[in-house]
Amino acid sequence: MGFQAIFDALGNFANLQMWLVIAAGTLIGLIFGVVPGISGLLAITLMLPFLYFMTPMVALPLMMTVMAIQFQGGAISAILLNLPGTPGSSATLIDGFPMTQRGEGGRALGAAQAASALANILTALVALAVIPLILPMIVALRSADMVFIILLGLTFIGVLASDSMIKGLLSGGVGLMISFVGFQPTTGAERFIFDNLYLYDGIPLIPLMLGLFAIPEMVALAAKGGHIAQSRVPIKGMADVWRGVMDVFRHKSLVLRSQLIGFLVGALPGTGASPATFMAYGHARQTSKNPETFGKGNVEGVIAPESANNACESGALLTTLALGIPGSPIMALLLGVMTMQGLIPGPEMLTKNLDLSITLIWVIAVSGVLGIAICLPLAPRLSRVAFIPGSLLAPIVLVFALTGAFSYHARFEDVLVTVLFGVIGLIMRRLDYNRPALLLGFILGPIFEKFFFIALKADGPYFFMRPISLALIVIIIAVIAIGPLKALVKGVKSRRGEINT
Amino acid sequence: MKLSGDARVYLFVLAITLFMVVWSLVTDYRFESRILPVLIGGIVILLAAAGLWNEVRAQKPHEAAPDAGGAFVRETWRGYSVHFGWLTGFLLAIYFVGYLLAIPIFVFSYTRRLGSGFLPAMASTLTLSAFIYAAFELALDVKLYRGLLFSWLS
Amino acid sequence: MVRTCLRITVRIALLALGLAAYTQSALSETPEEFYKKNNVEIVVGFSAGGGTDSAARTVTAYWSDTFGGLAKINNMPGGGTVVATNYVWKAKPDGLTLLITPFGTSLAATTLFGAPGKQFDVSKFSYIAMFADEPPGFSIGKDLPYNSLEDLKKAKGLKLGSTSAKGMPPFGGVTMLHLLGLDDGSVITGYDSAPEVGLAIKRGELHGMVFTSNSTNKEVKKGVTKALTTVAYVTSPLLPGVKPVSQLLKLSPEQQRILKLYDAAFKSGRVLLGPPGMDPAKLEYLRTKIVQLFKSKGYQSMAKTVFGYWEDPVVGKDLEKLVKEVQAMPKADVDLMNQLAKKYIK
Repeated sequence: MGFQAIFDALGNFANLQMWLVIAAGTLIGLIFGVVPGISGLLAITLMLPFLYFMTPMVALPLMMTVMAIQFQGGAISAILLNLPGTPGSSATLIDGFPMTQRGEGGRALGAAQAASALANILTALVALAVIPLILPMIVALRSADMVFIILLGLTFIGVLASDSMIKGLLSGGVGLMISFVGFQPTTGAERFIFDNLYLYDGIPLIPLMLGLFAIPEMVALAAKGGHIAQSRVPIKGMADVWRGVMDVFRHKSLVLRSQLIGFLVGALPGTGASPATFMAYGHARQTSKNPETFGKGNVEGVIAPESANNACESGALLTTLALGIPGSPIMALLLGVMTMQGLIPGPEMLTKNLDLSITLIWVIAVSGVLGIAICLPLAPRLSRVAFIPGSLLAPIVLVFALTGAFSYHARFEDVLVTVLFGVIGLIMRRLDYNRPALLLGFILGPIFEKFFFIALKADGPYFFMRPISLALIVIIIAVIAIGPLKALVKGVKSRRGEINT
Repeated sequence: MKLSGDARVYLFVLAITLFMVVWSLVTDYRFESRILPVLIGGIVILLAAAGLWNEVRAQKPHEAAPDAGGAFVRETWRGYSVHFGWLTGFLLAIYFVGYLLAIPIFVFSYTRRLGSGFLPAMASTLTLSAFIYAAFELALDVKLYRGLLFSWLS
Repeated sequence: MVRTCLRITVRIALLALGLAAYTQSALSETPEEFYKKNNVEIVVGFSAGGGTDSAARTVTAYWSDTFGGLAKINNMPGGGTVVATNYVWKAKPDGLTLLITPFGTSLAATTLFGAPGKQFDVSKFSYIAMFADEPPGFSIGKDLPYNSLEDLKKAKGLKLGSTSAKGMPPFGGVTMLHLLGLDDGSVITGYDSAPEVGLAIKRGELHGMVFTSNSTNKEVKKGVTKALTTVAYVTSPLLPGVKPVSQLLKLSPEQQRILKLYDAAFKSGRVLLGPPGMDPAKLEYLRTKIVQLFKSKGYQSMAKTVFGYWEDPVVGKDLEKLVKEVQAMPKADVDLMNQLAKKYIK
């Protein structure tokens, strides 16, 4: 049955209509991913009235393409403007934007596009083969184990904070405290809302991100004048872009490890792309030969998150199709469309409808290729954004930030939140606090809390005594200890070197 | 004693977090609702207190490292406030007259204030306003906020 | 001078006559003509893609065939549907702004248990119809050694899973544990959806769940659970052969009151309604025509795809009666339900 399904899926690609659908989805995903404040989620929401009445073989590939490609678009605004086009691109800007400031925006774009495309292609190819491994893994992991997986993600706050531990940990802690506003995830009880209906749903993510990252950079740009690129470097054009592409192949091992992290975390129900990208970034930093250059424009800091966030979609798709559990709001939309089409996620998608599932997975790979084919030639021109005078760029980006914030849920209060976090981001930027750490705490806080209390109630206070949980605790300790151990070894080696001389 | 920027931030974070912790303890929140805010809040308070202690003990107030090219010199709090003031003005304009009026007013006046010539400012204003209208109102069918004035008039 | 004044006077008189004629014609426009030439905004208090949004889109899909004009969905998530409901509460009662919202979690729950920021009175809305109502199903892990409710009464430490509806405890699991008399049972909240609860059952983390018949049926089809009963007085077409709990268990008077409260208040059906003060002629027209929409072949086919089945909607006065029933629930019963929630939800 498997081979028959593969042949049937291949047959779908012999159809011109499929290629037109993928091309349309690629363009839509790129545009929506690039424009700050709107994302693939909005694109698909707007297409819903039409999607419901298309055949599954048109509607679902179209959705998958938009979902897969939006990260490639989101990386562009993250790298060039410090504005994450999608939540999954928020780790990319940590090193992507400093590269642009150094005049290496083309290299960062090249690396991001190549990493994204490679992730789409490789994980799509691998996804099918690992279904028999992944699904039992997902079933074996209980909420107790998820607690430690998310805790592992939270430990990366410490990795992000390694330049200034108190400030970094404080940023992460403040992010966690902000995430507590709204309702408690397990009981649904209100918390810190002070009778304000707006706060009932908590602080929204997109306005927070726009405020925290976009506004400070543009205000700072307006204040100091000039342009984003701080050094007078000649525009290298396509050579710079290709250098970024080759960087991906030079860091093959990092690419594969980041894809693995993204794929596995994406496959876990209820996590989403953001934890995966930060985990991959943190891992890259810990295992790099030059960790001190992270945050200042290290291309590895672009390759890792972009590999992870695209691999995440393949993983999330598997869980959505096989178990009917969406890992993200976009996957929830996919489920909605599947329901309207009469498709039931579950064993049927891996048996009766296996050819459709295989088609969807391959669509991710094909869209990755198309995406890079469109983005790479444009990259040299796009990287020139770094040389646009701030007097023109700053007002434009600020308008997009505040318009994007409103378009999220059509609430003026979201715009206020954006401006408020703009103030906070500005102060953090000026005083060297770690904004990504705050974001990571904010994103992971509710997920951690949810699994923690479910684990406590389902398995009692000794929920951590499961073998998988204990193994994860060991990994967490290892992750925390790596930094100090490396420093210790380095210190010992340098002292030995001094003694010998 | 003049407090450094960092010290003020630590103090502010300390105050807000203390409030959240105390609020969690005195209100009738369930156990699940209060335990993590109290635990994490406690850690945040300790970190903020440690940071504040370091700042107070330090001889000189902390200064953030200058970035390349000496551009840091112009990135002062005063500079930030002025430009943030423009953003606040934009926000108020959106609130009172809505996006479709506020955007061209803000873009043109701010671009000119930042030193652009008349023609680039006008071109930027017209292009951006048209794009926002076409993209959001027409293509995406997102009805941008109309402002208090137009809501009242309608 | 006199001629000029006369000319002006005649012109004003003609203008006034014309205006009167226009107004008259506007006022005498029938509801049919009104809905043919006007588009309707249907507000949904959830993000796109969820159950209520899908339900609303089944209605808008056939709206123009039935009414002539178009219907557009406006997703307005926030405050657990309170934002959307407030919006429609304050909207002009011109018949062009309607709301589709779940009866139980949105209307009944906010009436019985309150909600922050709530500005509406459910008794004053202009009710059109309720559709896609299905009795909740109770199912347990397929591999558990219990095959009937009587068997299950012997279970120790039964754990049921649920989502956590904002501000409102999950009463399905609470009701079921109370009807079974399982004092040591518990309801574990916090899961995001029925499939996630099903996965937790498969992992051995939980033993059972109470969800809509559609969701229960899906988990049964996946081979995760087996359905034992509907938590209602009626069977469900989606759970054939499964009898309602009122027939399977001998209930004490207190248990019957709890079941009655649960059944009356926590219906999963979606309600189409308009703001208070709508023109009675338009309201009646909507009520009549919506039945036509629901009975159309196209809608029935789509309903069977989306919901798994199709049933006659509850319309107009019958729906108002259901709302009044909820409001008339004895406070003692509501308090008892709250106490049971505190007992079972750990």
